[in-house]
Amino acid sequence: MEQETNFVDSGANGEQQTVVFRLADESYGIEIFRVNEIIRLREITPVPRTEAHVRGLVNLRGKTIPVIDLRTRFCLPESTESDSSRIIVVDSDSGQIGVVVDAVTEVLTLHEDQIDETPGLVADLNTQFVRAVAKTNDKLITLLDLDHALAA
Amino acid sequence: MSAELDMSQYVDLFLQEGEEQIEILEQEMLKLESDPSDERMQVIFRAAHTLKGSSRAMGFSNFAELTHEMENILDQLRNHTFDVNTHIANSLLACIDTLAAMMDTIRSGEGDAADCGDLVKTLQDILAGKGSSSGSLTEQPNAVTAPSSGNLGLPFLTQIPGELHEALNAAKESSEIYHLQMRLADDCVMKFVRAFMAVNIAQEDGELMACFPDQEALEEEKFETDFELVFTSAISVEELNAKFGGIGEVFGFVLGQWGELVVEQVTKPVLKVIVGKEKPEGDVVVPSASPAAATAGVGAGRKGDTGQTVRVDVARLDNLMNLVGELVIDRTRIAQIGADLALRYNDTQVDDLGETVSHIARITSDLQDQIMKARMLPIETVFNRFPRVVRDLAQKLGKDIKLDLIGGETELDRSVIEVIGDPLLHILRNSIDHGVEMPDDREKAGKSRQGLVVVSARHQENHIVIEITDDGKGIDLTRVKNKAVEAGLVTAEAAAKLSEKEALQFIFHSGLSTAAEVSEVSGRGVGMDIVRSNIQKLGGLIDLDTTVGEGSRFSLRLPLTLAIIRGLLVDVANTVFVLPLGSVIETLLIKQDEIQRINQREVVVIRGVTTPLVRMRDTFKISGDVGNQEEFYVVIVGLAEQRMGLVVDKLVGEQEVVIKSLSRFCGDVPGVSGATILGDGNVALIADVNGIVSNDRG
Repeated sequence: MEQETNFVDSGANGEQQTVVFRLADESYGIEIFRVNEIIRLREITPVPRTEAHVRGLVNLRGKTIPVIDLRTRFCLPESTESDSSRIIVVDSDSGQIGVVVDAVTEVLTLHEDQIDETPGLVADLNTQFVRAVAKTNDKLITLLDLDHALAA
Repeated sequence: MSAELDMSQYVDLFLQEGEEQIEILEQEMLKLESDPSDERMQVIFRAAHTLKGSSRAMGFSNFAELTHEMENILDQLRNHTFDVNTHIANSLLACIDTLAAMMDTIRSGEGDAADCGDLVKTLQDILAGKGSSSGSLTEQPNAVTAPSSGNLGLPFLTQIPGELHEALNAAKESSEIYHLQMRLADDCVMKFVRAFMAVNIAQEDGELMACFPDQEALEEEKFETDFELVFTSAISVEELNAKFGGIGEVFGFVLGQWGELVVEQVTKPVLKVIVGKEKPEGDVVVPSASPAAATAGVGAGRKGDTGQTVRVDVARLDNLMNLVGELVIDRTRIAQIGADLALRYNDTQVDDLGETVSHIARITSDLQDQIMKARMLPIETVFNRFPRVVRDLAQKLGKDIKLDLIGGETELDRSVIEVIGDPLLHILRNSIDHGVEMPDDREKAGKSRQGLVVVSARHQENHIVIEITDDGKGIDLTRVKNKAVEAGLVTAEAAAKLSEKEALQFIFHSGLSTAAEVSEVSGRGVGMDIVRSNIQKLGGLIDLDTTVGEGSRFSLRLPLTLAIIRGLLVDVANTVFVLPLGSVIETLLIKQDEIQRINQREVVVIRGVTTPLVRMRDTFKISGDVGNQEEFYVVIVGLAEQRMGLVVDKLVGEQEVVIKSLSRFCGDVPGVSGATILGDGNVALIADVNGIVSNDRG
């Protein structure tokens, strides 16, 4: 996709704004232009006979949107919902989709030189979902390839 | 050319109007055979005339030519020069079909290219045939046929009623009679003024003897571009020509002496020149009353046009419906919040909120009602296709069938209207083909030779019930069973045990037709299967009753709309599902020991009917503690002609729900047709009874 190929050098001066969230004590990032809004966790109605990572449907101001669980998707341990849990609503090919995360921590502006496109280093995660890794002063952020991560 | 561009804007309008007129034509034509009243004739004539006028204005010359020929025939019929017979009716109906086909090609941008030469020929033959039989009529002048015949289309109105013709011939003895035919420019803004000027010139030194359309119509501009004057005058032809030539905004005119039309040409700046002299063979006289008829048609046709209606784009209505849907959800939600607050606080403000909420609820309901109504169409729009089908079919099969349509004014949402036409038509075809017997057979069976098929529609609660009843031979269950065995749908032993209702199910099975011979009409054994699946898609029910020798009755129960439905909310392992109320027959509380097992399947006998049970927990593979229940809630759902009991944990209530589609992301989920948002703001899934049933079967 165009968005993917443009990932690193898009934005002014090679800078990239990223929404950073936590999943099982690790930090992940999604390009900010993919994010529609961030909402609190709310009642999710399970849809039977769908894949395990599809948590179900939520009501987003009168619209029903599907919500997926990235923990299940990434084969991470079952999530424990808390007050900090959020649903990040993103745009995808099949409309809006909600992504359940443990917490949304910050929005970071990443510079080109902070981004390392060698996702093979991320051991825990199925590498097809990873776009790149960004290093900041205190941590590593796994930048997700959203389209792969959301693909059914 | 800019005129081309302008035209394209009007094509839509033309199509819309044209379709209405074609429908009127067809409806009335069909009634005409049995009831050839003068008023009906007028209506038909008017419709044909309007079509001719508008198609000509749009430049669809084939279309115009065909309607023109139809108009000629209709005119003769109207004057009782000859009467309607099957041949004429068939020819005219064939014309109507061709017109409808042309509408389609025009819509797709291909113009009116259809070849209607044969039809035109047929119509002309009919006219000619009449001419020779009565002996007093001359052949139509070529010039009358159509503008496409080489010249401008002038002279265009050469048909003068017989009486007038004679009167004029008599007057001709004493003074010179002139005959003016004038066509105003298409973009003429003050047609009345131009016509008035012409009339004045004609009356300047003489007497206006005839005027087509009549003067009143001219004054009210109830004509398109053409009019015709017959007058006596002391002024010379040359002078008259000069005078008429001085009138502005004229496309062209022809002035001649009565009886031997001298063709004069007039050139107007923007316009084409009339080509050559048009000297029709013999007199310019065809003793019929086309122009007068045209006048009547135009005049009367416009009367009803000032209705207080506005055409609205369907997409806009759909959009409005969606918005109301949102509102309905929020209304339910606010009501719930209000109720929750009222429980928690004892406060006057909360009471106020309660009142406001109930007011909003009322307004929302009204709004929803109104918008629903705006989307409603009378089922007539579907029924209107039937008389033609029945007529043609009966004729083809050699049967005599009377069709009664009852309750055509019953309204339902256009989304439903769009999809029920074909299933209904199919059932109707079946009734005529397989149900109603041949006249001779009917007589032998002690019935009247004429078969009766009744299609009726009525509202019942939130549904529409459509019944198609015939008084034919009914369905022979033994034959159905035999067929089913033959087709391998059931074993002979099992078939013998089937109840009447159960055996009838096979009618809806694909690959089964009880007609001994496969006919052109139906009997390919695929029809009823499609009918059933279409009705199911709509969330409707189909039922069939039959008595051998007395007839059959199909009854369909359909929701009024597909956007908002009433649903029964049920709880399955703490998840709420919505069952469309249209599919719900009843709810029962049954005890564990009432459940029996047949062939590894749970069934329950309700009033003597063995109904299979489906546990929704299993269907949706929802785990969770079932508990050691002694009693179960069972929702009996009917899907088309089938009945099935769904076992649920709890009944929650009944509510109006707005149907939302499942996200594309989820894809097709078997057993779930959509989602909705409940009063508490949570999402509930709408169960697809069809899916559950077929899932259970498969």
